[in-house]
Amino acid sequence: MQANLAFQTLPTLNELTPEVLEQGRMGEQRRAALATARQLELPVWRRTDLKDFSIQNLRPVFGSVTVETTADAAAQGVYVADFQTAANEKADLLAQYLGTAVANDHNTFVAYNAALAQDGLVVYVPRNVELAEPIRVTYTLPAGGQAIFPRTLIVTEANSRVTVVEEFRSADLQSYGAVVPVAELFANDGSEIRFISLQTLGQNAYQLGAQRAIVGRDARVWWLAGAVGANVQHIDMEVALQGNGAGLEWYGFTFGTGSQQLLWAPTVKHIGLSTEGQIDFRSAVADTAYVVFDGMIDIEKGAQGTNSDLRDAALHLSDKARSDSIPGLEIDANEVKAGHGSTSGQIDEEQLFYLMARGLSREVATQMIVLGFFSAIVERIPLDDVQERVLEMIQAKM
Amino acid sequence: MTTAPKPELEFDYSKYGFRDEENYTFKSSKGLSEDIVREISRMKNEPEWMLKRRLKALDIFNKKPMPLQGMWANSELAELNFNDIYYYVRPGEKSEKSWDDVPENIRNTFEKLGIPEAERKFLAGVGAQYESESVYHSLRAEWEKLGVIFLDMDSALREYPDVVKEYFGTIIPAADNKFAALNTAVWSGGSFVYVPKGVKVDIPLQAYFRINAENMGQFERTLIVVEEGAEVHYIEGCTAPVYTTNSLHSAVVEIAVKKDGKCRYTTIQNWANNIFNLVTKRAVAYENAQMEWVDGNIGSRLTMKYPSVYLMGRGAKGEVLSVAYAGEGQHQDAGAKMVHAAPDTTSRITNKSVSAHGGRTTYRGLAKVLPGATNAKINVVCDALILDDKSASDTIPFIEIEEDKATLAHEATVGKIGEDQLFYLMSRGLNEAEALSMIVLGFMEPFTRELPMEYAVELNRLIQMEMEGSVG
Repeated sequence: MQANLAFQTLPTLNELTPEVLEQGRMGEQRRAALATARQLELPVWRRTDLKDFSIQNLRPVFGSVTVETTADAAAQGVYVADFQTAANEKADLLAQYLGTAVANDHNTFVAYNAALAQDGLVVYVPRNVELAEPIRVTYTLPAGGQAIFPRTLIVTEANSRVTVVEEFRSADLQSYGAVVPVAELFANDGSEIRFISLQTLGQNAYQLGAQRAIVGRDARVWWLAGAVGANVQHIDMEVALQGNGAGLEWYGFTFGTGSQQLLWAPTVKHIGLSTEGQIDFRSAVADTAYVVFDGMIDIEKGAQGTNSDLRDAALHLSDKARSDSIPGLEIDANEVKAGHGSTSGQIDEEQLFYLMARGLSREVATQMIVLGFFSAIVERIPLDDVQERVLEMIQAKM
Repeated sequence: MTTAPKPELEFDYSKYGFRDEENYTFKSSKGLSEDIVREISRMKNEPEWMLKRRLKALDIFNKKPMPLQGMWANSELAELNFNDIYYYVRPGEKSEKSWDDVPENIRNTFEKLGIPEAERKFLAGVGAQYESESVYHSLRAEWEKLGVIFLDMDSALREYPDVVKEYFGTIIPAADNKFAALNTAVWSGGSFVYVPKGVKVDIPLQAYFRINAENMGQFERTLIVVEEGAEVHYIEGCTAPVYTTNSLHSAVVEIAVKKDGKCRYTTIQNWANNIFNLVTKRAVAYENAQMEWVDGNIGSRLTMKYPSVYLMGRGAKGEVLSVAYAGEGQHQDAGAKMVHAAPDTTSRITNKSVSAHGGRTTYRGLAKVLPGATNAKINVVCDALILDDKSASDTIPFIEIEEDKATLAHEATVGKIGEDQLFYLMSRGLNEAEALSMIVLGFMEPFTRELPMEYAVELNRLIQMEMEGSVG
């Protein structure tokens, strides 16, 4: 697949002049976003180390995206295109939605994405259309010294349904490079978006981005976030359950090895009446890796009837690894049920002993226990090939 | 819901809310300056090193920004005006050992609060602080004979300067946070407790803190040293009358519990609803030592308090058991910190909070396991009840694990009172208000049962009183 990509490289973000950006309405927005990106200070992230990283030294690259859709999608009137094509063909759709879930000034990285997003995916599903087959998109960071700015926009109209699988990948890089993704998901009334976002970047990659979903009345989002690659990851994620009866199922897994620093920050905002949220994230850490789960259930004033539960678990495989968990609750309504549970621990010696008594080596027994730890997440993946891919991702780490 | 008659409570709020005439031997001008710090130190006739500590802390305080944003910050602190506070108010000449020697008006205050009576009945020793200074400190002779020391902090600095110097500011340095710096600069009063090796003080010591003046700042400093195999239970209570402007209470409490020692520190905080209660409390627990914070927060405008235990020796145990009740205009931002720095250490945090009438409760906590603290075990449980749609609750736990052979479990729930529970009690003939208060008291029972009986009864009354009008 990678062979088909014709990469086009720009000057570094430091040297980039606004004139390089395209003309027309989109161009104006891009130039404004570039100015914003250059004005904004680096975000203060206590748990993500950016001291050896400077986005300004990287060269933006276009042509990193491969979109796979189906004949079925076209036949049912589902619009699927890479971002740049959609910018030309679906200007009104982009004008309506783009930047409304993740504001351009969210942070400097998001602003750079708004200035430079060309590779990306736009999916628009009309009313009452349920697409059985998933739409797949892959982003490849070609080399160190470069950055890609994937942009995902998914809009499902009333009572429709779609599944999108995205993966960020790269080889091990000689010098650092970055993937700066921004995803905006809009599940309108009664619709469902299933969104699977996987990160398998190589060494020296940084993954710094923001992903948000806005969920309408009786609409649902099913979201799986998985990360095993990159040196450093920091992803802000938010699902706003705006409509009454909106629902969210959210799963995540991370496996940190070597000196990886991987952070997820998922927030669910309960805004409508009687919304439901379920979050389950699991992380394993080995070697000197550091994983952070910075989660939040935010129940806004008036969001009566909310039912929300958040779980996160960390499995430590080495005495040098570190995991942080910050499962917050901010609750401004009273007719609610909300809870969270966080656990951290090591491999149970008894389990290990049991498996080894059955003839397995310590190594294999450990692997089985780690797979078992993640299986609660893996089993929930509704697509067989994605399940396999996820198992591959986990096994490759061991 | 039908409106039910309010429950009859045998309680008179004037018990805590009364004010005394101001009749002080010294009252500083409002605001904080180097002159005031020097004046406090001069009036106390302190050693030079303490003055130096104070001045250095003042400098830190002036340089540190107000914690309005970030992990351990609260934007409501912006309401606090440091220039509108009296930093030192001296009610009398010295701390007395007999109530008869305490000035009559102050003695009456503590009589009304029931302190001398409690002392006669079930306490090993009592300290009473009024504004900036301790007015009374006494320890029963039997404990004095065993070498137990229970003094106000100023007397301790005069009588045991070496012990004070050894520990003062080592557990909570002035630079720890803005309010620890403020306390170090202007501290006055507080308790000094020293329990020698092997001595088990089996009935509680109590200190009672009273603010009377308007715009008062109270900055007591407490140091408790529990030697090897020794035990002590220290209780503090706090009240003040209600004024229209804010007062500040900013204490620092440092505790060292040596090998096999045990310390329990119980607080029932019922400050008036215009007091900012910004307190730093921290204990270090050495090998097989045990430290328990039992922390009840009912009063104050804003409380920010996270009692901590640093588990420094193998087998040390830490516990924080706390309740918070936030009513109208109140924010109880309380929690706990447990830092595991040694193997086989265990800790437990249990937090129960109730918010009503527009109040907000926040649990903020840290559970940290440092490398090498193998077999550390941490268990955290936070439960919050929100009684009406104007009230709110936050849970902000920080969990940082740097050791694989450690086990942590954290659980939190937030919800309302179950209709079925209410219905059940009401079908047994209770009116709604009675049923509601019974459920809330039941919810807090894991805390109340750890208190001496007299305090448990008092706390239940306070909660019932706070809940008045929760129905209809």
